[in-house]
Amino acid sequence: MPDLAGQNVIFTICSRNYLPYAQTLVSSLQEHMPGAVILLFLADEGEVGAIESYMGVPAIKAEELRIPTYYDMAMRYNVTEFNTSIKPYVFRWLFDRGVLSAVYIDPDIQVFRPLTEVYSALNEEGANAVVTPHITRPLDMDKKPSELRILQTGVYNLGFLALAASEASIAFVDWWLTFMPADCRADLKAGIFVDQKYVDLLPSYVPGTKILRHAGYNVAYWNLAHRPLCNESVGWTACGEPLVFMHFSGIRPYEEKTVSAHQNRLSYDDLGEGQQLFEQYKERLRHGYRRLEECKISKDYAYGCFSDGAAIEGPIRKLYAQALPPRSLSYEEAFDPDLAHYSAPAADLRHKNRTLISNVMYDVWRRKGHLRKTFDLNKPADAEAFALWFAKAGYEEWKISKRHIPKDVWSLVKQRQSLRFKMSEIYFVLARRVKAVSFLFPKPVRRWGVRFNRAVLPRIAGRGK
Amino acid sequence: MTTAYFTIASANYLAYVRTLHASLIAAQPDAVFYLFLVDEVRDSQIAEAMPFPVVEARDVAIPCFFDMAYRYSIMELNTAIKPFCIEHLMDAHGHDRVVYLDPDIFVVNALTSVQAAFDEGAELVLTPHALAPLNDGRHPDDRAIMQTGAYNLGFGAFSNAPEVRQLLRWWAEHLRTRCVVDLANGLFVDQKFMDYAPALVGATKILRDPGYNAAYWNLHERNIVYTEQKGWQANDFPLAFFHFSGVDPKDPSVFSRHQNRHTIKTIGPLADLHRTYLGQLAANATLGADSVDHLRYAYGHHTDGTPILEAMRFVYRRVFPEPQDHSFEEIFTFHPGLFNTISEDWREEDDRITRLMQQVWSMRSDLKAHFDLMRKGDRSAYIDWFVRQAPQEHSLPPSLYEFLPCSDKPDDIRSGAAGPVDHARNESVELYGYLKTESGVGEGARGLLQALKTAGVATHTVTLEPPDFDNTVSIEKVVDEDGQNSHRVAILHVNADRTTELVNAHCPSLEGQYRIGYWAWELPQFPSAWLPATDCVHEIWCPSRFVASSIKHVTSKPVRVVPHAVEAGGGSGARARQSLGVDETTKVILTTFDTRSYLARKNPHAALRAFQSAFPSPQRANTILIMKSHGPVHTEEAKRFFSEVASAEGVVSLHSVMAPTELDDLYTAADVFLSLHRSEGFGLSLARSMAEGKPVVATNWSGNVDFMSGENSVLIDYTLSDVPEGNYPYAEGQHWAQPNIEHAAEKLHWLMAKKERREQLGQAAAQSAVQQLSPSRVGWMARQRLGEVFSATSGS
Repeated sequence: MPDLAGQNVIFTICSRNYLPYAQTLVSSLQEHMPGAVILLFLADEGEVGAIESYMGVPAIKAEELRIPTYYDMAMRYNVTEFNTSIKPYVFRWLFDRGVLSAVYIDPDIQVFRPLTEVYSALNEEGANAVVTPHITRPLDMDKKPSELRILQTGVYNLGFLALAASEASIAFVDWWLTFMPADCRADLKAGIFVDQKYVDLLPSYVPGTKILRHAGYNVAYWNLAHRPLCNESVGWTACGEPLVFMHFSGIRPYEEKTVSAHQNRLSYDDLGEGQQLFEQYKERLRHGYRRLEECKISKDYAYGCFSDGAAIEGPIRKLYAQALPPRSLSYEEAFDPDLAHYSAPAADLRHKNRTLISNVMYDVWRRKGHLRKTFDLNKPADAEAFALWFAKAGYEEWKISKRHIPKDVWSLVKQRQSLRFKMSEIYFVLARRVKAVSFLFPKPVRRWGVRFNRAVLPRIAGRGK
Repeated sequence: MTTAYFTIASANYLAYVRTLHASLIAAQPDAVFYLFLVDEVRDSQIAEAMPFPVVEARDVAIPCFFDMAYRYSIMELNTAIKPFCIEHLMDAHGHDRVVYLDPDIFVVNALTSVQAAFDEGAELVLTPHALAPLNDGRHPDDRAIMQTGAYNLGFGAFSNAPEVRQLLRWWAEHLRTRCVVDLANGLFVDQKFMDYAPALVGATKILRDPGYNAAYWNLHERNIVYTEQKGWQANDFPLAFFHFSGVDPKDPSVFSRHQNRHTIKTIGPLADLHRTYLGQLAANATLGADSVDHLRYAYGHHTDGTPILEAMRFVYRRVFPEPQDHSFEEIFTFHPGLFNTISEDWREEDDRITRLMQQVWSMRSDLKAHFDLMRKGDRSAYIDWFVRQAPQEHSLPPSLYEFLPCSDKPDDIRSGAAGPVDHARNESVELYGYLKTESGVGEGARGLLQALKTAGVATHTVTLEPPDFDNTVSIEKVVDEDGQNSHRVAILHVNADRTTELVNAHCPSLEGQYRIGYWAWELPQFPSAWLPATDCVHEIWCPSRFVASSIKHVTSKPVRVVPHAVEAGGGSGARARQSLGVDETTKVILTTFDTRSYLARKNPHAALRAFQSAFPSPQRANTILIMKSHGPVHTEEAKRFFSEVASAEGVVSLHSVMAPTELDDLYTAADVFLSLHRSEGFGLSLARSMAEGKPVVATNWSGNVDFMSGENSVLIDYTLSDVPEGNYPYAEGQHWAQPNIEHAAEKLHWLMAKKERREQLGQAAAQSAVQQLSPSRVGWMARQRLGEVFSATSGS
């Protein structure tokens, strides 16, 4: 680890699945800004030594930042939310170590020129912060992403942020930090979008915030419609300005002709010359993944699984986040697959069959209108029917592990599969279908028939065994 | 270079506009000022009487103006025409610089910084709401600002430059249909769109001069003072203008209705400016003999006089997402069919839900919680509600509900009224309560049952299931051995809000019984919404004199104080310490709360603050604070609080429902119990800690002072303050205590310093708990009263 005091540090944050992206970023930085101090913060578990030699820069595990609710956040958030929630803590950590300035760059960025405008803003103009807006010209409301959607997620893109270690910036980071334990989620209805939306208030709270509208910065799917890419004699340009960095957000390295998974405004053909940039970037990523395999580094996100290795699927994280407050936990506590809450009977139900409905099942039901329409879980009979359907098919449909279905349901299923039960089912169906039955067999006879079935059929079934 | 100042208002705001104009002219005598009037006053003399040009909004060339006038509420429409007015001033009047000021702004000094910014090359000048975070837990906070827009659009200065014109056209296009308050979809009138301004206009100046747009949202970082030499100053800059948003001209004691951070008492010298402003508003409120604030809004009614309700505007918006280019008469003619059409959302499920019904339902969270329209039964129940209640609650014209089917259920509330008592019944008691539920109410009911048994009162119990989810009271009534109800007195141990429902559910069996309601409530005034419940009972018991005084104000029925019975639980402190990993020498301070009964009331924030300031280094003091809590944590407030707790040193958060024995252990393990509540109906957890022989540190106000005094506890000073809206149900006009945190910290420190002090106080606490709150004492009190009731109802 180099001595960071007095340095201008550039850093990125990723989990193991994004290491090839981060590596591409790092080598582009090393190529265009030789001598820059670059750090990787790993929002994941793993062997740091191997990762450092793969990356070619020092790597620091986010766990070492001493985030009070680190494992709680790792469980609470999905991989994107979690990676972004680390960012303010890294800024704080770097400022504590006396850096002059810190620049964050998303791993899915490739740099083509030194960040001259950023450092001249920080050093010469005395700016405390530099941000890049998503767009500098209006888009429209018809295609994805619309202007409104960008407004909901934040005016400035947090794939890039430069902060000088000034009092105002540090105060901002300390404020920003306080939202990370619980509110670094993508929840547009509540007006929250990961760490990014908070930065809408940066120009208000930090004097000397430079809003960098240079067309060569942070070129990505949200502004490519205004910034055509050209390969000119001076190098790549965007809308005629020298291209400083491309943000390949939503790119798919193994897909043909995808500009970004998050948009539908531009087709691959619209990129024109820019296609070359996308192709070379995808090739670098694919190469990076091959090297990752050679270096025997897993590309699986460690916090994507419970402590026993079972994948965390479906609504589990949301359920955890809604029911439990941020706490300071150990890894084992946070990633306990048998956390009672998941399969405990739903707290909102008040009848004898509530033991058939676990919190996970209840959560699925509550969020899906058509399930609420079909089953009224406040009625015991419906709750039973829902539980049976869930054990048969529902859990697969909603990607819920079987372990979150209560034991009572499985014994009920077993009971329902017994021969006796099947026979009586057939009997009732017949009775309903064949109208003549009620005429041929009046009620006393039918009642006797039921008694006979109950008494004799189990014996017949037993004899078979 | 000519600069125009303008505002936009409807006629009901003329007093504000005249005040703004007068203040602007006083500060800048040569200022050119316009009013854009979102109203129609053609025949009256109003426009001529104003000392400034008045432009009626319909005369500004706004495409589809009447569509906007119907689509939007008065507030939305007033904001929606802003870019159109700016362009009108630039094009039709030739102004190069246009400054918008909200009508509720009061100019104090000339706006020189704006002109200076323009002269330095700015093309657009905006003011941020605040220059420092708003994260003290009050409203509005940073999150609210993020949702409504970083820059306050009560002020905006625009120059006639190409990028600005482009921005204005873009803005205007959005405001034709999207100038609404819809936070869930990221919209907030015209203001939210301007978050984009610094991105779209390169020469945007974010004006950070504290003298500009000072208002309730930035007073936390602005010190506003008056001196003879310099006049009004904000953080040592001249105060250019103050934005009196949320002012109430009729109530001078209100500083701003939209917030709960500042009051007229806390704003210091600014109160003088506020008084001056109100005085000018009053002086400007009359025009000849008429008062201007009663002028009827021209776009608030259909042509036939039927009022346009908010829900109608919403229906219109949904049916016509695109602007309609029609005349005033076409758009403002009342068409019941527009609202009575079967709702598109439910067309496939139900042909009875109209667009208006769907709209009313979706606008009211109480209705959404009560009726799940996905279910058929709930739809029918909702239709019933709509026919009975909506006409009054929403002042609907008959043509919007008369045709609906309606069931003929009797009005069932009156049938539950407390009637004559059958004196032939036994002198015994039937106790209805949540006897098997882990909650405060359940614990209270169990305590009363034990007290009655101890006192030898013949008691029969009816266990109720808590009504958390299902809104009907589920009945699990055990029939008597003799098969009929023979008890003369029924004690209904549920709060007033559930009493009517309970009585209706048990109506036949409660007939002829003397009914006693056992009610708690946490604020000084009893909610008027619960008054019908007093009709259902003969008498009311409550746990403290605090509750009794609030109920006595609203009923003439007898009100008796019968406290909750508590006794030591016999838990093992060592066991709890072991499971928490806390050794014997560590001093434990315990505080408990249920997030369901509102964080603001239980006030664990204050407990945390007091702990932190008493023990800056908890490890060295060998002291920890245990916060035991349960309940849902999905509110923003709860999340923020828990994340703060998680990173606080020396604080252990236990968030779970504990078994009774575990809870007993925890209470025994504590050395001190801390409760800096803002109010308590009784304070069951405090009483319980006292019974365990623990010293309690608590606010010296509300129900707990019945059994706490300086001799048996540590009581903390407080000041009374208004209950902010949203912090508690029925908060309006109520007050509660703000405990003094420094005092609490000082007392905590004092108490934790010496073991003898704690032991001495703990013994005194245990002694008074036995004397005042033990089951035998409470049982004796209950039996005394029941004896009086039995003899009064014996019929002889």
